[in-house]
Parts: sequence; C-alpha cells; structure tokens
Amino acid sequence: MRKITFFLLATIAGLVGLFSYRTSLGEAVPQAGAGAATSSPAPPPGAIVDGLVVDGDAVLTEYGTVQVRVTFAGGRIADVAVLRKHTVHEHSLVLNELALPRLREQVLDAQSAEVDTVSGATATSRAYLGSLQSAIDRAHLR
Amino acid sequence: MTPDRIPLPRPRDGAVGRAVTAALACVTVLVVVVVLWVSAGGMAALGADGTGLVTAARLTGLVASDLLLLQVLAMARVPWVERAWGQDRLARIHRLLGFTSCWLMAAHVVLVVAGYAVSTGTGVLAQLADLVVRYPGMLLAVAGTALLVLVVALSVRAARRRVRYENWHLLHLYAYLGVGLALPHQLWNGAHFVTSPAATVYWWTLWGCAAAALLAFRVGRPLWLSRRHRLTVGEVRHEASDVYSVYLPGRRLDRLAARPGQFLTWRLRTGRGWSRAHPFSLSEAPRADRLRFTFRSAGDDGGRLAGATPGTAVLIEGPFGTLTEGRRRGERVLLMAAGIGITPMRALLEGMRYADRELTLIYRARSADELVLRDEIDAIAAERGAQVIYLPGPPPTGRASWLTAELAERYADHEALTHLVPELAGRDVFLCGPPPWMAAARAALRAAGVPARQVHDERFGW
Repeated sequence: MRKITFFLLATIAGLVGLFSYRTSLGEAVPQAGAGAATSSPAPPPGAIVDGLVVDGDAVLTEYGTVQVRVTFAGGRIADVAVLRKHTVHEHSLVLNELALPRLREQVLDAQSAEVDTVSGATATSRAYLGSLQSAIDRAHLR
Repeated sequence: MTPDRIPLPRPRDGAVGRAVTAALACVTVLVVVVVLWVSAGGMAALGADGTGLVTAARLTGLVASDLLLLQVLAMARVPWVERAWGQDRLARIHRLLGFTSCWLMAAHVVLVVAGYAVSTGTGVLAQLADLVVRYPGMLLAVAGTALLVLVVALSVRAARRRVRYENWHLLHLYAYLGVGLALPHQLWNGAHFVTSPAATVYWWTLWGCAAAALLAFRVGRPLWLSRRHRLTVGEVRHEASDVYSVYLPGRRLDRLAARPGQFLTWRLRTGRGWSRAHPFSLSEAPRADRLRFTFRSAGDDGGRLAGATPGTAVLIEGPFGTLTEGRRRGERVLLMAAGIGITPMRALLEGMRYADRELTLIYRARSADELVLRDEIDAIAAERGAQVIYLPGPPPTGRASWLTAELAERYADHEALTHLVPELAGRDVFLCGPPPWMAAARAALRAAGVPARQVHDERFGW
C-alpha cells in the first residue's frame, strides 16, 4: 500500500509539473526573433509618388488569410510586402518566418509570380503567389 | 429441480448480429478518420517533399489515436460488446490493437519530425527539441507517449511474465493517463482539428463517449450492482487439497441475470489486499438468494481469499463470459472439463436444459482426490439423467493429449472420444481447462468429426 501511495503522489506531482508548463494549456511559445525577418514594412498605399502601390487579393486558406502589397517602379516589381499572413497552426507560423522572405527574394529575382513553391510550405507559397499574381494583373489594368 | 427451469434461449442469442454491428462501428470510426485526412488534401500532398512526410505523419497519428480509442472501448466492459464478442476475444483484440497503434505512433513521431525538419531546413534533433518545447500540448504528448511505450513494453510476453499480475495491472492503468495526455496535442496541432471545428467536435465527442463508457461500465455499474445485491461471504468450504468454494448470499440475484457458465470479477473486502480482483466462474447455477464460486488457491492471494470470514462484503463486476447455453445449436451436449475448469461445467450441468441421456460430462483430473465437487455432480447427474465420465490420472509424458497416460497408451485422442461419447458429431461441446489441454481436446474433437462451430470455449491467459 505504501508503494501505491508513493506512485500515486509521484504521478500527481508529475502531472502538476507538466501542466505548469505554458504549452500544456494550449499556448505556443513564440519563436525567438519572430516577425523580424518577414520583409520590409509595407508602404502606405499612394505614398510613393513615382511608384504604383497595389494590394493583391486576400487569399483565404485553412490556416488564415494571406495578402501582399506590391510596389511597382519603372515597370518592375520593386518590393513585395506582406499585409496578412497565416495565423493558425503553430507550424504555419514557423513557415511564415521561413517561406515568406524566401518567396519575396525569388519573386524579385524572377520579376514574376511564376516561381517554385517553397518545399514543405505549399499552402503558404500558393496563397502568397496567388495574391501577388492578382496585384500584378491589377497593375496591368491601370 | 425441474429440467425446464431455465428456458432454452434463442439460438446464438443474437450474438452474431451484435458482433457485426460492433465491427461495423469500428470500421466506420476508422473510415471517418481517413476521410478527414483525404478531405484535407492528404492524398494530393503525399507526393510533395516535406509536405508529404508531414501528411503521412498525420495519417499515422490519426489512425494510431483511433486505435487507442477502440482499445479503450474494447476494455470498457460495455455489456452489449461483452455479450457480442466475449471478454477473452476482446482481450486478444485489445492486445493486437495495442501493438499496432504503438508502431503507428512511432511512425507518426519519426515522420513528423523528419517532415518538419525538411521544411524548415533544421537538423532533426533541433527540430525535435523545437517541437517539444514550443508547440502547444507537445510536452504533454511526450509524457503520454512515454507512458504508452512503458505500458506496451511491460505487455510484451517476456516482460509480462516477470511482473506480478496485480502490479502489471496497476501499471497498465497508466495507459489511460498516456492516452489522455496525448489527446490535447492532436487538437492543438493537428491541421484537421485546428482548421475544422466540425472535426474537432467529432473528435471530442468520440473521446467523450469513450470516457463516459469507461466510467459508467468499469466504475459506476460495478458499484451500483454491488450495492443492489449486497453480496457477502456466507461460508468458505474446503473442497480438496487447495480448492475452496465460497458461498455468497445476496439480494435479488435473479435481477443480476447471471447465467450458468459465466464468471464474475470478485473483490473480497478482507482489509489489506481487498482491491485485488479475481475472475472466477460460478460453480453452481445462480440462485435468487445465493451465488457460489470455486477456486484453486494456488496464487499468492489465495490464502487471503480462503481465509475470508463470514460477513465479509464483496464487490462484483459482471457477469461476464459467453460460455453459456446461448452458444448451443442442438439438443445433445458434451461438457469437457479438466482440473479447476470443472467449475463452469458444473454450473452448466445443473442449469442447462436437456432431457434424459442427452448430456455427457467428461471430467479429467490428475488424481481421484482432485475430482472436486464429485458428490454434487453425481447427485445432479442421477436426478437429471446425465452421463458422467471421470478420467483421473496423470497426463502422458510423450505427447500432448487430453487423455490420461493410461488411456493414451491404448487409444488415439479422437478414438477415445468416439468410444466414450455416443453420437459425438452431432453434439455441442463446451470446453474448459488449462490452455494446452483445451488445445489437445479441440484437435481430438476436430479429428473425430465435430464441426468447429459446435465447439465452444473461452481462452484466457497469455
């Protein structure tokens, strides 16, 4: 019986310890340096006189909404800023930090929305590039 | 006592229908999970690198979790499921599902870590650490996984044999905790649950039902039954060297609806050690005011039970078991018992419906002294016109046989059966004894032309 009591107390102590950790109540621990690497801050629309600033469509996915703001200058894509990104699912947040800057670089290099998706971040890439393509289409219409 | 005191139940007792329904429910639960996975683009994503690994990880995780749920339900002692499949078969299914889900769980862990590591370009160990430390519910999941792995490791036959049953059983309860700790991470990280409220509701409902069934049938019902029937120890009678019968007076036992051939799980509140439960067969047809079980006090707990004083309160679970008249298909019956396996056969001899000379009982024991309950068996047989064949004597050493050494020298196993039992092939055969003896008896019955569907037994112990 004494052994059972010991096991019971040890189990309860273990559970208390486990549940005192912050992730055990459904929270995630934020990533170190999250948000820093995303990209340049989005310019306010119309703020750039010699450049055209166009917002892409807000693309809805199961992990949230992705929307980009594109700055055009001299007939080229000068910059892509992220207005909205995935907010749901811890691993999607990790992929935000990882895939969005990489996509921006690829797009600026290629000057097009037709670039490879980032491997492991298919949903994020497709939404980003979709929003970007809609912004490019809109810029051509003006 | 009149022969038709207990009516012959409907053939098969509806067990087939129930078994099919239960199996369909299990398959449905599994199919829904796969549909969940497919509807979230599982199939399409399998091909992509990184995403493919994670998607496969989700499927293995979902199915593993589903199997854990079914394991809990298989052991929840839901009366309807018990009657359909029998506790012995449920225990075997539970064991099989247990090992399967453990392997799937291992695959889930490996795939998810590998998949995330590919997509983030991190090393595997760094990714694992990040998952455990940062992701919601993951520390709980790691603790839950550790507990489940412990339980599975202790249930591997080699390990199981080294641990005393009571200790093994207590440690096995950690599986409930393990399952509970692993549940939150599914809902907080599983892409299907995070993004689909319907899936989340479904999952919570499923686990809620399993928990409710567990509480109701493993805790609530036994307590309620024990309270309603108020069984106590009336008398402990010494039958033979190490065999004792415990007589248990109680109230309104007709409403317990226990049937001859069934067993209950007994807890004798003797003080220290009372929480240990023992499954023992009823050794007489249950009466409205009294039950009786007979047991061999071989185990280390036997002395405690044999020494129970009159008036000791008794907690019960059950009745369980499908080795009853409900399995019967025809008019003629053969009961075969060896050793302490006589107890349910003794109850069937008394409680079954049969006419003069329609029932034969074969009773094997290692010596004439070990033919326990012989006097009452003779009395019932004389009154009901049953034929009883006693076969005392040591087993043969050369081969596995259900016979005594003496008979085994002269007859093959199946020949002895056909010599001893007239019109053998048409009989329903009820078997109870040590597993190797039952295996030999089943082989002999098959060789003697008794169809397998007419042979009824329950196989416990592993």
